Amino acid sequence: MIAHVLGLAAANVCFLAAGAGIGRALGLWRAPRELPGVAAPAYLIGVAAAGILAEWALVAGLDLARWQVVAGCAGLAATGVLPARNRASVLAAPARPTAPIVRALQAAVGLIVALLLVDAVYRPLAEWDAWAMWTMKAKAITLLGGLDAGLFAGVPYRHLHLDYPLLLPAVEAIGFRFMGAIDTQVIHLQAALLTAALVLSLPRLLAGRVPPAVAWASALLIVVSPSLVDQAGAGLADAPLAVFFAMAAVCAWRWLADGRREMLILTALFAAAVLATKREGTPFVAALVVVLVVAAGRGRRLAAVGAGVAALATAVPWQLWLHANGVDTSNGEIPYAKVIDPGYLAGRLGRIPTGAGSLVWHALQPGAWLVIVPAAAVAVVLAARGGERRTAVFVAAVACLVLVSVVWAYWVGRPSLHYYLQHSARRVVTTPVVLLGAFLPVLCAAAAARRPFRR
Amino acid sequence: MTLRLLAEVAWQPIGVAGAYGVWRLLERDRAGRVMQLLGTGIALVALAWLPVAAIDLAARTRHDARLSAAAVENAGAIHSKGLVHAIARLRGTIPQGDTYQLTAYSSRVSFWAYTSLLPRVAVGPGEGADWRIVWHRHPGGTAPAGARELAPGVWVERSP
Repeated sequence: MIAHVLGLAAANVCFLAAGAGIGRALGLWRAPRELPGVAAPAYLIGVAAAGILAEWALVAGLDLARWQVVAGCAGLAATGVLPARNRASVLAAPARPTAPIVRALQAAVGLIVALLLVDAVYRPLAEWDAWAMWTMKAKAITLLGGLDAGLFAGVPYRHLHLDYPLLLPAVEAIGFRFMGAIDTQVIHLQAALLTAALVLSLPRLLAGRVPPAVAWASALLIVVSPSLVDQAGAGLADAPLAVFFAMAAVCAWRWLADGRREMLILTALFAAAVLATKREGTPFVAALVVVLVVAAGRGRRLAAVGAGVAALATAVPWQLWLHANGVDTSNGEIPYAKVIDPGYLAGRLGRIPTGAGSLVWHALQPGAWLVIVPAAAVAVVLAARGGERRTAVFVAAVACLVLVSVVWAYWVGRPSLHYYLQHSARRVVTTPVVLLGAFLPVLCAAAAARRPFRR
Repeated sequence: MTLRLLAEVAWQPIGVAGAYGVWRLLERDRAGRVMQLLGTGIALVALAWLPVAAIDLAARTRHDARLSAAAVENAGAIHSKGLVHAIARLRGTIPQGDTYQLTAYSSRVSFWAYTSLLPRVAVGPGEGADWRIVWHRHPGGTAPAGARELAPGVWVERSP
């Protein structure tokens, strides 16, 4: 097991190197002494970029051999040696010296993160979607030497959501390659690392904008939430989807607040990672881009549209592969021809209140998400009533549109509502709730009328 | 359970003290009353729940670390008796790289076979599978022509 953990760690060092290179090119860090402070966001950048690249490599017929991964990550890392456009760092340096209570909160986050990672190492592959779909595809990529059309476009496998994008299976397949084995326990560490990196990234991304104590307290609230503790190392794609989406939204907000183009590039990158993680990510990204375009104002609207188009363009190779291999992208669940058919929708109106009510109930469950949603709701209301309205509207609009897109899927989907609610409601609220958790310190600052936006 | 509850309760004063520390720090930094209330509330809940999350994670790790290698390998099949045994027999019978056509009584069986039999790939009817597998819920029944019962209810036949 130790050898497998070391193998997976080696793969993740490659991702970190890739992210560090991109991060330096974008001005996240300048001198090597700054790198440890931005390691978590750099790691997420690396996984997002390497994951998208790995999906493209599979489409191109590569098998994600170790040398290919090392070469790809080295190429991405090499972007860091390019001369940076801006001398000023994109992220503000964290305040020093840190107060004892902030250090205590950091230690608490560190403790839970450590426990989360150790737990993931021992976790068996027991979740249905994980063993039947996500990790199964990673195994297939590893054992069959890439994207075998017999499986990835095969008729018997049509119920395994063959149209789902491949970022997570590709990243897990890279892990298997570096382990030199198919260790279905240790591989859970991969997704858990993403969750850990998110909670460690958020206080850094928001440094200088919110008090560190609130940033770390919010990070702790997210990472101790029972539902996230359960999902982080379960081998499912919902937690990675939530991680990438939260990063995309936070970077988008930073772009709106600071106007730094680097943050818009990161928004596009993480939005592309969302699209490459799960099919449900498409409406989520659409929601984010729509809100971003509206919030950007006339002068920056084109740039926001450009970021959305760039993110969408990264999904084209996979869609072309699906088309070329005749994979049914409808999967029978969502009748795309009827998503705006008034007759069809009118006959199913009863699904809306039940579906929406159930989703809200799941999001509000203290036993699943503690007080993330109520705290965010209170902060949004306070901010809207006299604080920083623009931030409140941005966050509330993105979260609500994400929820609306899920309700819409429940409305038009062919399976019974009972099936949806039983099998997916608990997991699909992860993205909007983690989003609200990520923005909690920003919403608190907005409610306190600290005016985080610079106009 | 009692020890766990005691530990969680014993932690609460520390959590409250931590939250008070956040309150004082925000007051010192003149963050404003709203920020102070919200920030302290968030810290209070997060710190109060910290021991619950820590103990949950530690307990689950302890449980998972004690699972046998077989239990780990077949974690997804624990609700289907006979599945693990039948898959082991199929793995021993069908060479790696061969294709098979599977007719099974449930999707759980099919999905478990698809993942467990890799790198053997399933193919659809009429695609010239090397092997044909028929998986009944119960042992016996009508045997497919030329097939042999590899495990109770699991019939396998090499294509001519």
